[in-house]
Amino acid sequence: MPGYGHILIVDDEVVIRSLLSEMLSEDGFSVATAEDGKRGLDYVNNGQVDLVISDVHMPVMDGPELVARLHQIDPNLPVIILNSIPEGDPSKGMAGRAITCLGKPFDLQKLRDAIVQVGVVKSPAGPSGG
Amino acid sequence: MVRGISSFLKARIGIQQKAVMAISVLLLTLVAALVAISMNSNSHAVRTELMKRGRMSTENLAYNAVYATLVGDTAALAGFLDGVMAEQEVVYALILDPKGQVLVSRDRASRNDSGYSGLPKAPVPAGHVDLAAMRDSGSCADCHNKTEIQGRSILDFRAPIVLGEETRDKGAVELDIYAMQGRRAASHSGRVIGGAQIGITLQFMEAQISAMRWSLLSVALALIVLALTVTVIAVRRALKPIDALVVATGKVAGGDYDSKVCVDRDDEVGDLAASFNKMTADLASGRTALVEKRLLEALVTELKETQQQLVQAGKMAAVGQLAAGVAHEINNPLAGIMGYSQLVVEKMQHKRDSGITPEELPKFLSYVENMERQSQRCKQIVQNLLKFARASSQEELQEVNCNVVLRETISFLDHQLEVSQVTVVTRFESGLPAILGHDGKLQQIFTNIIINAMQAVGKAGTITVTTRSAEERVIIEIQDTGEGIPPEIQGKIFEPFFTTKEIGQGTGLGLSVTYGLVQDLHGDIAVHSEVGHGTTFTVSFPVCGSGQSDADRPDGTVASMTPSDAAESCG
Repeated sequence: MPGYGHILIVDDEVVIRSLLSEMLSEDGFSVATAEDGKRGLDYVNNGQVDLVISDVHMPVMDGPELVARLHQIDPNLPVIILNSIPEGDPSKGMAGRAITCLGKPFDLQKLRDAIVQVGVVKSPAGPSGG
Repeated sequence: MVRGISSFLKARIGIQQKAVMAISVLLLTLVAALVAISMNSNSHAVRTELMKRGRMSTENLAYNAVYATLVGDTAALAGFLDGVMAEQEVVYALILDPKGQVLVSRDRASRNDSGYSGLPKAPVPAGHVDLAAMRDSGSCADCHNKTEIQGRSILDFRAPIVLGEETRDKGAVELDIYAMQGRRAASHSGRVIGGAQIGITLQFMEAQISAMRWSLLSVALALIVLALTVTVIAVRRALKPIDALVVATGKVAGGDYDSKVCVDRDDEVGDLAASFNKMTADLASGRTALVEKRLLEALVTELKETQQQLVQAGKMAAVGQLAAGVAHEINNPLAGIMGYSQLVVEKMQHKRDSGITPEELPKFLSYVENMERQSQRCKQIVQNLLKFARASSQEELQEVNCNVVLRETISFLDHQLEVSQVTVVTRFESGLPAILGHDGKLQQIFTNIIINAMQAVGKAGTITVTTRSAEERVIIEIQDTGEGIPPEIQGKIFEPFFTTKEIGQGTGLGLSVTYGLVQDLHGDIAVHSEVGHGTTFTVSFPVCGSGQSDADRPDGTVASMTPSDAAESCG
């Protein structure tokens, strides 16, 4: 879907990947998914991504490492972190970068607000009926 | 005042004072004895000398007066008496006629001589003098008498005037008194023509003795003072190192082990000082060793405390990790449930007016199915957690058959195994001996290993669970057909939280918990893995009645027992 925001979802949890794909597609974004940080990084290296939504704890490459690598590729690439552990700040040491943190479980509306805040353009059609 | 005296009496007397006192008493006694002896012998000598002189003077007078008495020359006799009176101590001198009557006399009173205190007014002894008795007497005691005249001691000497052969030879006068005495004894046959009598006062002798006594006493006093001074100096000098030793011992007692006593003397005190210095050095080194030992002990204690704190911190970290694991476990399905339910709500609100078409129904159904699945997952997690909590709190050991526990565990995991399409093959030894353990803990151990294996084999894999007994142990092997564990991390898989990256798979409690549980039950756990050929976890426990408590064995021949016998012996 050229012209609209392209969002990469990185999470080892199938349910999170399917939920976010479902929701963001309905909202009019084009969506791609990756099971871990390594695959997510490969995807970003091979194409244009407007936003990355990433888990923290993942096999192979975790969220913080992915964020650091992404920063090297494009310091302005916005990232939304989804953290399932209430304690601790996964954005620690990533100051100055375009990072937003949301704790799991999260309100869909808060995620939408965060996406709007980082300025990702979505489909003019808005949330579609299906 | 009284208190002052009593405190003085009770006051400590130093060794120096004691030594000085002892030497002083000794010196005083010695000097006193010497003075007494010296006084006595001097007095005796003076007295003897006086006696000798008195006797000699009297006999000389008697000898010289022979011719004058014979011819009745009183003037000559008076001259002789005046000669005798020239002697200071002579207080009177008499010439007696043959009848014992005074012929001529001289005395100090009649001469008005001053310097003679208390002289008698009538110095001449009254009464008749028995001249014959004097002549016949051979002893000195008879020729002089000590008489008291008006309270004064006066020695009275008498000698007979004898007309004998020797009187013709005046040269004999020069003979000494002893020779004369011999002659006098030999001249007893001669005729007594008169007597000579001389009184000698003891006043001068006593004065002389007194003067002598005083000079002796002053010399003695000077000697004592000198001796005491020398003694005090000597004692002080002798005991000075002891004072230094006392000061040094006080310092050592106070903890100053650097104090040394410098005594450059080649005697017992020098030896004592050297010994003291050596002892102090030994003490110092001993104390240093002690201090070092104490430091070491303190360090060890500190280390132990630090270790305990670390263990505690580790436990807290474990709790934190557990909470984090649980949160991760729960929050992911919760996020699914929450997200899908919000999606459903949004969609249904959107379709409130138009209604849901039959085409849209599968999508709604998939949302709700997802919610149901995630709810089940949450339930399972909570159940596992509770089971773990129960297993952790269980303390009492009981006899357990591992086959039974394994069957329960596998049936408990049936659902998950089915979802993962994993096949479990069991090869249980019949009549497996019982072990001492907990159902809950064993279930936890087996669950963890089987879930680990399930994750390793992936879809359509196989897990083989084998039980057997050998060498008094029950052995459980759980083998999977997964990818295997790389050798470099095989040693780390039992370390706590080594697998944190994969948290969220299984219970999230890790193999370290399994390891701890096996240890709790006095068992062993080992892993054998080859990359590409799968992994085998081997857990073994001592057979009930073997190992730790030999007393439990019925006959001490457990080695020959069959597994089923052993099981029976456990009841």
